[in-house]
Amino acid sequence: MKNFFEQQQTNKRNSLWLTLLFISASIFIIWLTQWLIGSISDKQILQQLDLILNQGWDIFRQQYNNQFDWTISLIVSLIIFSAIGYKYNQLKQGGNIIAIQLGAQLIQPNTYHPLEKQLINIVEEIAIAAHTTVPQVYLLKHHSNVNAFSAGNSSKDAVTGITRGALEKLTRDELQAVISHEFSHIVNGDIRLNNRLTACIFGISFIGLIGEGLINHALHNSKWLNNKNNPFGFTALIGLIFIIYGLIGTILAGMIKAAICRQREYLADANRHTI
Amino acid sequence: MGIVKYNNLKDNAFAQIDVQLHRRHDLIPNLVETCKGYMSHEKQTLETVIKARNQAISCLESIKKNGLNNNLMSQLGNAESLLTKSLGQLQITIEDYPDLKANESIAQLNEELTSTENRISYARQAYNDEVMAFNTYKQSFPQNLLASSFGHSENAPLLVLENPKLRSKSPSVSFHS
Repeated sequence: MKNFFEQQQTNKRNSLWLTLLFISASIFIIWLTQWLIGSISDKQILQQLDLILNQGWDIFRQQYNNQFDWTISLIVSLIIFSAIGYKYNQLKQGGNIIAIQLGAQLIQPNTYHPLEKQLINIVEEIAIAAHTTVPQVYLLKHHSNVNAFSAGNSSKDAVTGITRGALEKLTRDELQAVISHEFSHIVNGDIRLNNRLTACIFGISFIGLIGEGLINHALHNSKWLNNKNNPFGFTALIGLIFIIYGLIGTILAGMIKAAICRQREYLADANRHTI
Repeated sequence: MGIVKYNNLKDNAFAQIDVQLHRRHDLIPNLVETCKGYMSHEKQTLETVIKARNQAISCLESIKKNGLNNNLMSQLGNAESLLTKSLGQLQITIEDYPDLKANESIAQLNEELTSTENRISYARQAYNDEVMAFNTYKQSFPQNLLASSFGHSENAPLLVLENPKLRSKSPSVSFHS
């Protein structure tokens, strides 16, 4: 069993790992931007057009080095970081906001529903076992599968929740195991790591999301059948460019998520038994 | 962390058990009253439960009055184990009365009792952890030389509760031919 300090060490290492992965992803995106836009907006191309046409691209590159375009890099990193800041601030408001965004409903501690009462009891029991405050309990009423979540920024404002399927299908002991798993996430500080992770991922896949938004906008607003100017095509084209450009971010985001989350799940499973 | 802090942590942990034990003692009269309405000739079982409860309450009271010590703690452990056992007996009896078993308030009371028993066991675990930390600190050098002169002469007592589920006899297996 890991003690608290080793645990903290692991947490720090994970956060560091996350930061490294994220920075390399950002650098990769910026480099890609340079490669795409930088080579188009390079002024030397226009100046030396004759050279390129007569002797070819390779000769041109040998004579004039690729110039690093600071403006573009700055704009891209600004977009990424403001997206991260926006998302992190949103998540920092506490677990309740996240739970409500998920579509969950708060269970009142004095509920009369027997199953809900049982759930509240289990959460209070595990809180005693885990030496933490009792989190608010949420129920995802419209999910018939078996699943559970915990969210928040610290163990003070943490919430936990389960789906209706889990509430109805699991026995008391099984539910206790699920809830203690979620508690390990809270106690290990995974929920905070998760907030950071979500914010970072939102940042690097933001460009792709802009593209999706543009296409959606174009689809819903276009009256292109009776509009000669055809705004649909233009917006959608821009959107498509953004998506393709943001694709690299989306893929990297998926990889980071997979790398960190799986590890945390194993840890929570291991830690459950100590609670 | 000094011995005072360990001592206070231990006392706090016991207060947590105290809360949960009170909760259990408060639930039992409700359970007994509900059962009385249905059970005609099981007075014996109900009386055992009430008696065990009263004894547990008096043990808890005397601990509050005299402070934690080894003797009172083991008395409390025995009384609570007895209460758990008699409650288990009552559960078996309830199985014989289908009307009672289907009663909604019995189901609610059972859920509350199960939950309270879990809470007691977790709180007890926390208390015993604190006791272990206290005793280990007190018995190590150089505290072992000084502790008694500052009023911590005795080791803190562990609370032992017997789990009736674990204690039930394991099936005997024999390989006669």
